[in-house]
Amino acid sequence: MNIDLTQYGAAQFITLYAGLIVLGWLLALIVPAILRPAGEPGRPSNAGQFAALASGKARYAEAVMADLLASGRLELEGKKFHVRDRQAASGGAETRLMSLGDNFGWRTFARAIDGAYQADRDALVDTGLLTGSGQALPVRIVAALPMLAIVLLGLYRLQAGSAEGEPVGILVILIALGAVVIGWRLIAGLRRTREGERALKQARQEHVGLKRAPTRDQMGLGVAIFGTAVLAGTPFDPLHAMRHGGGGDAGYTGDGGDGGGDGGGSGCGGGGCGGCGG
Amino acid sequence: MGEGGSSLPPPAVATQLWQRLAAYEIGPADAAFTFVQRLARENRWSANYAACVLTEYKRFCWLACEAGHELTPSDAVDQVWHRHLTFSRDYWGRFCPEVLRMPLHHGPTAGGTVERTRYYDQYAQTLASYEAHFGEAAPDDIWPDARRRFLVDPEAVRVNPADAFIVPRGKAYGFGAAIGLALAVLALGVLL
Repeated sequence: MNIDLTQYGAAQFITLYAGLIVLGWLLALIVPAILRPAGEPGRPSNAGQFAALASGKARYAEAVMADLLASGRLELEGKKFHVRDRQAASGGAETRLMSLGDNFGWRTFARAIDGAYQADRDALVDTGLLTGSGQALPVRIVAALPMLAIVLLGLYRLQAGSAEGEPVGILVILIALGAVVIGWRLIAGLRRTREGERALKQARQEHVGLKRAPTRDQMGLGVAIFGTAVLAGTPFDPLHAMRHGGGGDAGYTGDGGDGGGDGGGSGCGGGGCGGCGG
Repeated sequence: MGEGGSSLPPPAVATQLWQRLAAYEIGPADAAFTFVQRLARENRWSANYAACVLTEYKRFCWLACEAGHELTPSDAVDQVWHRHLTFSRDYWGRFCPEVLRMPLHHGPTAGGTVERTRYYDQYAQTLASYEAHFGEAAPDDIWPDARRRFLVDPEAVRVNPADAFIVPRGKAYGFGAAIGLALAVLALGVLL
């Protein structure tokens, strides 16, 4: 079959090609959803594994740090983490962390827990919730193929159009967009299996309350599943600000202002100001 | 905890304390301007929302008596508490001794990092206790997340509508966008 793209005028082809780019982008989204490896039913066994399932190494480190800060073992001042309770380390990565010195920065911390992250990640691969190395690559390649064909078509028409002296600026932009989609599809991970997706969705539903105001012992799990955004407004807001440039620090790093609240409850005792009315 | 006497505490709504709270009305029953109407007007709430917040205030009071720890209310519930305290004869003469059967004091924050941390911890614990005792999560339109509770709500100020225009942000942004679009169309018409 001989396709003569030069029979299309420039405007006609651009309209057709823009539609093809949208189609290629949709296929790059849909194909992985269909071909994603099934995996095995399972459930992460700790906050670190939830973080590894939900996002990856950065989230893992944030969840571990949120737990360390919430439990009072570390304290964040500026961009340094200060050890406050060395004895409370629960072994493994934590003990290594506590031996880093009296204070350390984020990069040192992230390096120190790398081994623990790899171990939890491997456990999730073994469980069938994360895809193993090479397992997802064929799916990513297949998902990128339609757009690759569309980009090649565009390049062919670009050559023909240039030879005819037609304006090709918009076509170049569309081809570049297609190339970006190919790059994204090939590079962006297809990390979770279908069962991993299901486990994460279930965790988000079960623990939706952690998005509101996690207690200290829930802080690590909240960050693991939902990210550091759950720290906004909590005493650990500075970690969110440090990692993701979060809005306010709720005044937790300073001493001014009143931005807290009122409280009360049993055990206050006494008659208070009762009866002070006229 | 509770008044049931069994090994497991009874659900909050089955307690005598809750029965008293549910039956309790703030202010005179025959008032022309009721407590709920006052709340609605002063906070720009709908009558329905004001009634819901009043129920949440009663739940908060139940927890204050039974949860076994200090609590921090949401801003909306705190507004009810503030207004209730101004009915001082009712609050101290009837509500505390007859309904709660204990004094319930209101303690505003002294400010500073330590206090903020304490109030956050109390708020998180209040939400956890709410779910444990009432068998459901506190409604999030009355008990918001920590960001709203501790970063946004404390920014509220008292404004008299006679002194200022009050336009919701969503409407203001929409109005601004419409004006910008109209100006753009006008400019395009002039240029062409």
